[in-house]
Amino acid sequence: MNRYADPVAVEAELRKNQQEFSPNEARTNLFNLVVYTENFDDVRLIEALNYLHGKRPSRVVVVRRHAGGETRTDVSARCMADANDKVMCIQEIVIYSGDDRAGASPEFWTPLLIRDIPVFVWWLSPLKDAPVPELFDGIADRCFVDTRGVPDAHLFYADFSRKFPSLNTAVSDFSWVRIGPLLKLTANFFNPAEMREKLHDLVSVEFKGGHRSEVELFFQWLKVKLEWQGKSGSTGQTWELTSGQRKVFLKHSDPGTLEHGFELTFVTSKGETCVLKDSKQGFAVAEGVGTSKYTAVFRYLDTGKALVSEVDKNASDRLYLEVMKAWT
Amino acid sequence: MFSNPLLDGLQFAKEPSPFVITIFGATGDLTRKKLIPALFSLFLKGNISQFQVVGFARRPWTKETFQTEAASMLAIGHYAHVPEAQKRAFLDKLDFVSSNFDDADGYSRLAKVVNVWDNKVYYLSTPPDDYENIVRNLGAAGLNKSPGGYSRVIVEKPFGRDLATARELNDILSSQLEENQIYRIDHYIGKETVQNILVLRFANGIFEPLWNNRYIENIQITVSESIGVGTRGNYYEKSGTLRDMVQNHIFQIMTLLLMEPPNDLSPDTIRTEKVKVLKSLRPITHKNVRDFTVRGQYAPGITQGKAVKGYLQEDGVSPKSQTETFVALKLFLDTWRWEGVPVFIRVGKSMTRRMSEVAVTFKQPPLQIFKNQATDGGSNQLVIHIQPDEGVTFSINAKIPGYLTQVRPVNMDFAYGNTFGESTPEAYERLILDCLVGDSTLYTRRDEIEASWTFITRILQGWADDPSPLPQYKAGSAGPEEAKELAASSGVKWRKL
Repeated sequence: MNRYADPVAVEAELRKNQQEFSPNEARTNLFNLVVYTENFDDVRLIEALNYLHGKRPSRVVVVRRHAGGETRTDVSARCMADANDKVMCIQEIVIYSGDDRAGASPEFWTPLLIRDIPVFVWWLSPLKDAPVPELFDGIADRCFVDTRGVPDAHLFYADFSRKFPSLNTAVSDFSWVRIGPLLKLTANFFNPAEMREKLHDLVSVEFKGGHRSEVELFFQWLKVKLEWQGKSGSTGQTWELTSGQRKVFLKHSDPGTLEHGFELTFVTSKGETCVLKDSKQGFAVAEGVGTSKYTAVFRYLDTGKALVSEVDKNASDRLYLEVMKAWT
Repeated sequence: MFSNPLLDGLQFAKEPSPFVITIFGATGDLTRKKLIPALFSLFLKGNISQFQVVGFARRPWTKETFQTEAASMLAIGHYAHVPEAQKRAFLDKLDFVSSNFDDADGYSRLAKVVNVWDNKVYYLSTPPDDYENIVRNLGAAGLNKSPGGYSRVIVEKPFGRDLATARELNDILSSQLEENQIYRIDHYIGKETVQNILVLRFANGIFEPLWNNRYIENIQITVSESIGVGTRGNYYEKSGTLRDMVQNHIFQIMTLLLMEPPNDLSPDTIRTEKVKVLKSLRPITHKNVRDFTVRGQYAPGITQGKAVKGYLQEDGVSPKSQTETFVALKLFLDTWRWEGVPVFIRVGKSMTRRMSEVAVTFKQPPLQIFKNQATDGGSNQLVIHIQPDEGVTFSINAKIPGYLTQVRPVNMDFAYGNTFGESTPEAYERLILDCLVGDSTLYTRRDEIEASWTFITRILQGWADDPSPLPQYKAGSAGPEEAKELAASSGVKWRKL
């Protein structure tokens, strides 16, 4: 462990580590990922780095805030060989940001990044402390946040919707990425001609299960796409919206997490009810009017998959921006 | 008709509308090894959800037999560990119609099953001799049209044996279907690295200005296999390497490599550019076939560390066979861009190793100021590795450290395996999905097929007029000596295998 983050020493250490695993492989790194966290045991961090390992060669800088003592660094390489003996490595630099808080400062870690490849900053620390994205403007190509676990995610969304026109750095929210498969599932569910009519005649949607932040984003997406009017709120209470003269109620019940299942109940003004739910066996099924043919694979996107999906994108998700912009 | 605004912004993924796919010849090997696994994989990935798969074949199978057989197809390989519930959900979507391909009653029964769906795909996974019966009966049963949706037919290769048979087949299909309903499949172009040729050329500004006869010396396309014909001697006797590989797979690679930049990525724009390449190929006729082509047959030798038979000793092969297992071609395109640039094609069985690649060799600098630079092998080369080890290598010259200015070639490597640690989709998955969403870019259009056969048929006729025995090459070698001479006639050496 080094007290100082001397870039030359760090590079030499990384080279030495990686040489042990893959002496003859071409070195490829697709991006830098800087993760701010309070806690190395954060299950999302472990899950994400494990998933990244063997999928995308990269340099990962983990900044542990409030680590106490002096700021110090540690260097390692994780390499994995595939079935064809192609070795892929993640180069890891861990910065323990001490009492001087130096390690958390971008000036500390920017010399440790590989130049000319994208820089992603993932703020895994509490969002109430989040300086993102202002702090990383000009350094990061994109910032990742995760509103899961945030008690009042809707306040973050409202704040973000005000800020983001002036931001230079694109922001992605893993809560949004996680609900991606659910958005597609719902859109496909309503795609047959007989279902489209019902989509335009909904009077209520009830979402059972799912985390509050994710359900709020889901409701906001429905609201924006179906041009429902009214105030976006928290899922603590029913959203009362209107579509022309028709009232539409959006309700979240039995909060949980998406990976533990969900059940969506759609009711039309004629009283027709259709239910789309996770069978908990890897696919979603539908019940109710006009839905007999519908069975679709539904695979929950965990944080690792969400991370890989985001580092492969060049730009912000247009749909996310559209949905956030309309947060009122 | 109500719109579905929920799809807006999500359409980056290919999401087909509900459909039914009928597989003719559903009891065959292609269904077992490729089609059912491909459809299941699309289902698992969530690309398809509302659909039905109908098997249609002569065997007296039932829906239950087909489901049981399909279950066995999914019980091996990486699908073995997929939860049973997911497999069941897929298998429940399978149905079967047992019928001869010329039995109108079978098509009436099929109509009852498929007509509840607006969108219909028919996959002809049968020998080509059955195509006519199937297509005519589909027409007679009214299944070639679908007023509320689409009706499309996927046709497997081989698509004809020469220009006349290809035209005949096209006429049969056209008698019942519009061209935009016909999807002629060539799985080779479904490979990720083949598609990467387009991205490499047109998403990188650096290459296109150099992609012409001012800067390119020659191009080599190599597809070599280390195994012989094995148990496929009977089939191979009727086809040969030129028909089996060059007319379809190699020409797909070549057209993507040599075509003009398309204005957009629409299927017809790209296919029109590909056809232009085929039409600008300088014809090889019986007069000059010996100057521009070499064929060969593998003789006994050693491949993959084992002694192997020669082609003439293989089961199902005539001892006097004139069928080629190796082809080398020297081609020229009569266009402003490619005038004078030889394009070498080398394809064979029972060769040194299994590999497919495209190598673009650039011209040397006009003045050699480094006197000790290698006179051969010092040219910059861009090599697109198709298999195995998919990727791209660019060789440049660099100074060897030291007091002298010594130059040697070094490689800049991009390997898919080191960069993206996940498996690429199977070619059939991609191609079937494309058909379902109406994207025919990677399928072959009628004029493309006929243009390629026009060129190939002339060579076949030239060979037919030449009764001399085919050159032999030792199994495990890089091909016959005559192939070296073909390249040497343009001052070129083949890349080492």
